[in-house]
Amino acid sequence: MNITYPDGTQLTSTALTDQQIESAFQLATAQMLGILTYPIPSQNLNVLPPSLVSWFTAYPPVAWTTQLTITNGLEISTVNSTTNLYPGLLIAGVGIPNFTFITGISGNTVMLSNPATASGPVTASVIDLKAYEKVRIGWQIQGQPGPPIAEDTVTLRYEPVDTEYSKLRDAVGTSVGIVYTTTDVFTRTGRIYWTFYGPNGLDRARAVRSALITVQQFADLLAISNLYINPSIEEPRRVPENFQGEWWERIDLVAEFNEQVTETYTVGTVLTVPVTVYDSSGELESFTVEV
Amino acid sequence: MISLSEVVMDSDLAEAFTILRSRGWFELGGWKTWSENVCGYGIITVSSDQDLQMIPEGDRISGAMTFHSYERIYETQLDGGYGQQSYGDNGFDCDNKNKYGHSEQHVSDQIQWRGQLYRVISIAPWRDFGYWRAIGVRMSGR
Repeated sequence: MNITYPDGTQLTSTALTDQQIESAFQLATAQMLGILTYPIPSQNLNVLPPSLVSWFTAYPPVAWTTQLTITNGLEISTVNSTTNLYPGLLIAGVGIPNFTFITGISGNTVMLSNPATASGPVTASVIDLKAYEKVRIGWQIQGQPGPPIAEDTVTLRYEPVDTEYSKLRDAVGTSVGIVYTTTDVFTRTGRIYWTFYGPNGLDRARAVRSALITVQQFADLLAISNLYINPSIEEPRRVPENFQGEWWERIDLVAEFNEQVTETYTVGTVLTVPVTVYDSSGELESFTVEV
Repeated sequence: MISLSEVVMDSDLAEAFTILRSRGWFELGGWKTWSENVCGYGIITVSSDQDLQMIPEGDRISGAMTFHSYERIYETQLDGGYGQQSYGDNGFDCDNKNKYGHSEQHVSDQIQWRGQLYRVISIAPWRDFGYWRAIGVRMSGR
């Protein structure tokens, strides 16, 4: 965020917005749960801190491809293996029209939503457009569809926390020419709340907790955004909800994290000072001092 | 069953309104939607009077209207509700799937009437009688 104050002082802050923090944890959670999240459409990257984009360079995502044999004009193809294939996946490859989805699987036969435009063996990319349906962000302005009772989903949300650390600031002043700059580096503390629904919620919450504590890869991922998880994370809480005559399995997980924030204040310095000297008889002299 | 759609759309009683329909999907960063407008026509009645709420941050006006419509009105639904085959259809909608084989999701319709937006919070299942009855709460600040 950049702000210009009435006196011309400019504030530049690296503090992430709540949406950026939630997006970073949404991505990390999806990866911690093994949900394939590649590729991220380029238009979505603008919700992330720019540095996070480099994550995909540092940790290339696993290519999720499948081998299939297509026949020109037919919506039926054969695959060598149906592992990781299920209806609803977007499938893309030579001879497969754009926006083609898998509509059904029977044995080694896969039904596509569009007829192929070529024949022969094809290496196709498979994308789960519903990946983020399984890892969601709460408090959406217009609401959002709720999860079905039998589907494993997690919704996360962020809130800042007041701590002793967030009150301490390390301020360093520097002056270059007529520009004086104060750089404040401080720690901001926040909490991420995960709410897991679905029959495997407890196991998934445990997996996220373990990954946050022990897997360096995810510490590195969050560090790109200046986010650092406090490894003292309590065990998940199991709190099933009674809704409309059914018990919904619900698991709550909370983790604290610190964010390193740098705020820079740029202040214009005084160039000239007008001086006027008076005595009892009135003005004696008036001049300007240049600094 | 008796169809009451003629009554609902009686020109002496019915009014035009616009249904704002939001289809959506989950993305990195949250729930994303795109909306389209559907023409609605039917009897509109008051469900709850418009009340002024004075709070320190500013005044708010609450209230609710009941919309009777031949055009289908939707509440929030996950995995179904309408697809390209059944979109806008007043008939039966058995499979809730579109031609792409994956379901569409959406949040509750908004209804624009006399310059105000109303968010649908309740729908009565009266489609067998040829119409839909929806209650919408007034959305403030829009």
